Amino acid sequence: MTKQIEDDLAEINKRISHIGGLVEQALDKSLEALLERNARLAREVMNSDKVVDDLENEVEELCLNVLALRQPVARDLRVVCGILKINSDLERMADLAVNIAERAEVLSNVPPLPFRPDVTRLAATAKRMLRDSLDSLVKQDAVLAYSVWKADAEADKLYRELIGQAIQFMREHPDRIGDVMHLVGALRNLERLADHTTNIAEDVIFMVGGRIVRHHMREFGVEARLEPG
Amino acid sequence: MAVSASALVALLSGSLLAGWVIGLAISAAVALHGARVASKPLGDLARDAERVRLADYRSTVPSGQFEESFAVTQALSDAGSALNASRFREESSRAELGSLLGAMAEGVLAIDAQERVLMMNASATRMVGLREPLAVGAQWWIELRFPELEQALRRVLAGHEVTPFDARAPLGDGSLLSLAINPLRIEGGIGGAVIVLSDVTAMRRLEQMRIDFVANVSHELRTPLSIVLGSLETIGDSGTDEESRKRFLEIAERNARRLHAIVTDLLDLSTIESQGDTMPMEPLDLERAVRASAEALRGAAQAKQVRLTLEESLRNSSHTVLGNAQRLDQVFTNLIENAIKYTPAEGEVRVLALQQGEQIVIEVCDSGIGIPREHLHRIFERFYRVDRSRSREMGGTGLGLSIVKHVVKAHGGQVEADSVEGQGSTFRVELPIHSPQA
Repeated sequence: MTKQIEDDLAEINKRISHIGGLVEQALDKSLEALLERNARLAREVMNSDKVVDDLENEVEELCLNVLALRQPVARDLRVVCGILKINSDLERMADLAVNIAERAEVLSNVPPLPFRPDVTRLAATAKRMLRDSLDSLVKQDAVLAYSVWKADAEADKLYRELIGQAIQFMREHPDRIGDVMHLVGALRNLERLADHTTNIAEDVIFMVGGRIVRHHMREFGVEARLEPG
Repeated sequence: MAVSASALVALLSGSLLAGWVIGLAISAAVALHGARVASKPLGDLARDAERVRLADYRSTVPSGQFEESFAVTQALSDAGSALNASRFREESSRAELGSLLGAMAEGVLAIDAQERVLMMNASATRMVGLREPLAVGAQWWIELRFPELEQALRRVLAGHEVTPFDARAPLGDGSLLSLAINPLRIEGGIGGAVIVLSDVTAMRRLEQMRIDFVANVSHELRTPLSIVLGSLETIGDSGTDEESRKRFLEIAERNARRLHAIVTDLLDLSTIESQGDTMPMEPLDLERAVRASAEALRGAAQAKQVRLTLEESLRNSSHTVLGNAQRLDQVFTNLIENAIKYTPAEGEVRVLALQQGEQIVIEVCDSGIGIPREHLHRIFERFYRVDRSRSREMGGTGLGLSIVKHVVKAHGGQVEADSVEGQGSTFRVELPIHSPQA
């Protein structure tokens, strides 16, 4: 029985890391499409979403099977519950990547906008948050998960700065308001994707330590600093 | 007498007892010693056997004490040597295999049926973008998220065939990898898989360039050809009046000329490419050659009201290069002609020369429309157009800069472009100065 539940959990972990990899790839491509004005890459992302949707269903089924047939307790139970939540987070994130790609396709057909350096920085931050949150999940690393949560403040700050610049630019170039709104749309999706990575981080901390830190991350942070590792 | 007899009996029986005791003691001592002597080699043998287990095959039993123990010792020692030799063979062949796999340009990753790592070589580590190879025995997907590999592996381990496919490297620089996955067959099924990775970034780029080239050539040739055919058809039509005939004749001629120019340039380009190092060359005065090319274009500049300036550095200096006069004229004519073409009226084109170490540099600077940054690194490609519609309007075959690049390369030099959009462009040609001694 113990061996079986271990095998089942390993399979679930592998599938969820597979979904994570696909989301990572979709985000990479959609951001490259946005930054390099590459419409072909953008369309690739839009066409690949179905795979994630199918895998989401598979993982959910596996989780429900384990709950029903193996009746996991303690940490095993937390892992299954955590993955159920992360699963739907990831599916949503894949949709957000598709939204970014859609905006990128439109933007590749209009003259370039002048925000490239800052968009690059926000993109790099979001990509790192996603990578770290997925790493913290497969390695069950609560300290890494906490660093994801901390990085969100930086992502928010970059996002607010960019929106400020965009508003300024629209004032000066009213003829380009339409184009800028597409960029703002892409950025909002990116910022929300980063928020989802903090959800994953919170669930990982719950899986590892059995503490619900959602909405209480600040207090957890103090402890994580006191006892690293 | 009785006394003496009884005393004698007593004496006798006493000594008998003593003899008994002594005899017993002696025999016990002998037995004990014998046992110890006999068991010593056996103890040594036991220690030897223990050492064999620890992979130390030298025997410590002194030979020759007992016939039987000698035989056992010998057998043990022989077995030890044989084991030692086979272990050595195994270790050296493993080291050989390790260095072979390590030196391979292809990446190799082997995993078992539970997707645990069996081995990973240095190339595979580098290609996927990891700092260290995956630990043997670890599940590969914990350290590496690689959806394409995951999907393909699942199929291979389930017994399906997977044809080699391309995928972007999961971590790092976005290079393109080709993955070939083969199952490790063991009795009763599939015991794992071997993944062979190769970096195909450069190859795929070349393939793409070739495809683009063929597509471009066909397109560039077909356009004027269709115009010629269409014009001829109209001319042959009985309903066409004389004036229209004349106009269509002109159109047909202009496009036939354009076709001719493209074919000539293509042939030129292929001659230059195939000649390479064998292009006939002689020492010549580079500055004088550049001045001649520029002066020949003065009329074209005036017609466009563009000022063509030969700087002091070009007028009053002289450096000898080893070159082909006709091809170098083609280079500078091309560059200066382009500069004039893309500079609006009242603008300026400047040509100058400067020496940089062993190199002589010719710069053609214009105050024209400039080239957007993202196009700069591609303008030397054949038929590459920054703006398709405008370029064709300007004439030109789309091969000029490509010819420039190849000629300069054949001369052992290089050409670079720099530009600020809306402010102008600068083309720099660097050629090695010829020193007769060398």
